[in-house]
Amino acid sequence: MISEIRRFTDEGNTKFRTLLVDNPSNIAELIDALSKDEQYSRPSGSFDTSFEVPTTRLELGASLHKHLGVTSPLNAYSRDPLMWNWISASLFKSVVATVPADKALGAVERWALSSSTRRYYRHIFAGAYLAYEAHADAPQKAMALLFQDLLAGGEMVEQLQATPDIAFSVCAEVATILYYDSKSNQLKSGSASKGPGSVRRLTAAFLNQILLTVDIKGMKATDIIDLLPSEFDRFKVKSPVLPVTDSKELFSEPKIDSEHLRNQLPFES
Amino acid sequence: MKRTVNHTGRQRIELERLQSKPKMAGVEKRLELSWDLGGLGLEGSDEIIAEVSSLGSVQRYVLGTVGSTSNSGEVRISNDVTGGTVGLIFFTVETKGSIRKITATTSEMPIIFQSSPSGKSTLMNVELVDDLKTLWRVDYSTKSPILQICNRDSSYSNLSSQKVFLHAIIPEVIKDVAFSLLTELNEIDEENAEKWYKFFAPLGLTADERETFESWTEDDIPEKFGQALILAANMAEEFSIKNGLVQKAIAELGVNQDDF
Repeated sequence: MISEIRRFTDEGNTKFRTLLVDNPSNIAELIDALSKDEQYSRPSGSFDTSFEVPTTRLELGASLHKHLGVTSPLNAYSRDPLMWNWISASLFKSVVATVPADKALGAVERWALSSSTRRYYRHIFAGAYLAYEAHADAPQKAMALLFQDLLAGGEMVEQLQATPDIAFSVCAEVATILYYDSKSNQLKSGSASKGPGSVRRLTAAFLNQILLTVDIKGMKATDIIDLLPSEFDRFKVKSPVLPVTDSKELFSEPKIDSEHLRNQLPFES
Repeated sequence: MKRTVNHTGRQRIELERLQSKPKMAGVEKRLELSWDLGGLGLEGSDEIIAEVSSLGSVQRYVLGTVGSTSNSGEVRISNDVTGGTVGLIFFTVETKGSIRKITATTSEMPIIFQSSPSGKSTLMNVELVDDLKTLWRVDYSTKSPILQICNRDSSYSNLSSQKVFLHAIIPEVIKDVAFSLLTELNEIDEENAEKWYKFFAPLGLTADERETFESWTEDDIPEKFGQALILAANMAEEFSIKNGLVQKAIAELGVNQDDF
C-alpha cells in the first residue's frame, strides 16, 4: 500500500533522474529512500490518496483513476512529470523486485516521464494510466493495452500507443477484439509479430492510412473490423469475443434469396 | 497551370474559415470556435467535428451539422494540464452509411493556452498563413500580438508534429513581444499590454524598469532599444528555464546540453 501520492520537488526530480542515469548497484534502495524523504517531495493535498501496489497495467489504471480522473482531486496533476516520477520512485523497488537482478532497467524514459509526444507513453506508470483513462468508462474494451504486467508492455502497447489517434479511440477496442483472448488473458499467437494480420500491420498498413480519409474514431469497432482486408481474417475467426450477433453466420453457407433473384430474371419463369 | 492530385478526396478547409478563441480560467480551458463552410459544396447533413489532442489524450466534440443555422460552438477541454499547446483539427464527415467519410478538414493547428497571473485571459492566438515568407512572425496589426506560422504547401502539418518547433520559437516570440512592448515599436492596445506586463513581471520586469522605459525621451532611443533588447532576451531565457522548454527541446533533439 502506498499511503499517499506526492510530487517531487525539482531537486528531488533531478536526483531521481541522476540515479537512473548512474544506475548504482543499490539503485532500488536509493530510489526508495528518495521517494520517502519528505525533503525531496511534497504532498498533493490533504485528502486520502492511498493506493494498492499494482501488478498489471489495468490495476494501476483502476487504482489511480479514482485520484486522477477528470472529476478527481488530483486531476490537475495527471500529466505532471513531478508526480509521475514520484510514483515511479515509490513503486520502483516493488516493481524491479519482480524481475531478475541482472535484467537491465531499460531506458530512463520508462521510469522518468518524457515530455515528448512520441515517447511519453513508454513511462511504465503514466503510459498505463493514460491508456486506462482514455477507456475508463469501459476498460474491458481496451484490454489489448491494459492486461499486461506493468513491465511487460511489449510490441502490442508500443504499436498501439505510439499513435494517440489509435490508443485513445475505438481503435483500441478493434485491437482488443482481434488480438486479446479473454479466456486465457493473453494475446493470441502471432498478434504481436511482424507477420500478416499482426498489430504492426493493423496500425501501419491499415489504421494510420484510413485515418486520413475516414473518421474511424466515430465508427463502431465492428464496422471497422468489417473494413479490414483478408490478412486479418485469422484473428477475426479465432476470436472468442468476436462481436457478431450469431457466430454461426461466419461458418454457414451464404444465404441465397432465391425469390429475389428470380424476380430479376428478364423472362418469365 | 500546375496540376495536383488530391489523393484523399477531402476538401481543404482554409484557416480563414475558422476562428478559434482559447479561454482559460484556472485549470478550465475552453475553446470558442466559429466557422464559415459556405461554398465548399458540403452536404447539409455532414457532421462538424473538432478534435483536440494533447499529451496522452484525444478529445472529440460534435459541433452540429453543416446545414444547421449555427456556425459557432464551444468546446470545454479536459485532461490537458500540460500548460500550453494543444492541437486542433476541425473537419466534416459524411454520415450516410456506416463508413464515415471525411469530406473536408483543416490541417492540425496549435492552440496556445497561456496562463496569466489572473488565470483568466489568453495572451496570444496562433494563425497559420499560407504565404508567409518566414517560418514564423508576430503580427501586431490587430494591436494584439498574433503568432503567425508559415503553412506554405501545408508544411505546417509536418512541422507541428515536431514539438521542438514550438518549444524553440516560443521563447523567441516572448522576446519579440517584450521588445515591441518596451520600445513601443509596434502598437499593442492598453488591455493587451497590461496582460503582457503581468506576464513579464515574474520573468524579471520590475515596476521601476517599466517606468524607466515609459519615461525615456526620443533622444535616448538607441539606449532605450539596447536596454529593451537585453531585458527581452533575459526574460525569454527566464521563460525557457521556468517552463523547461529549452530542456524539452534539447531532449527531443538528443544533443548534449553541455554544448550550449
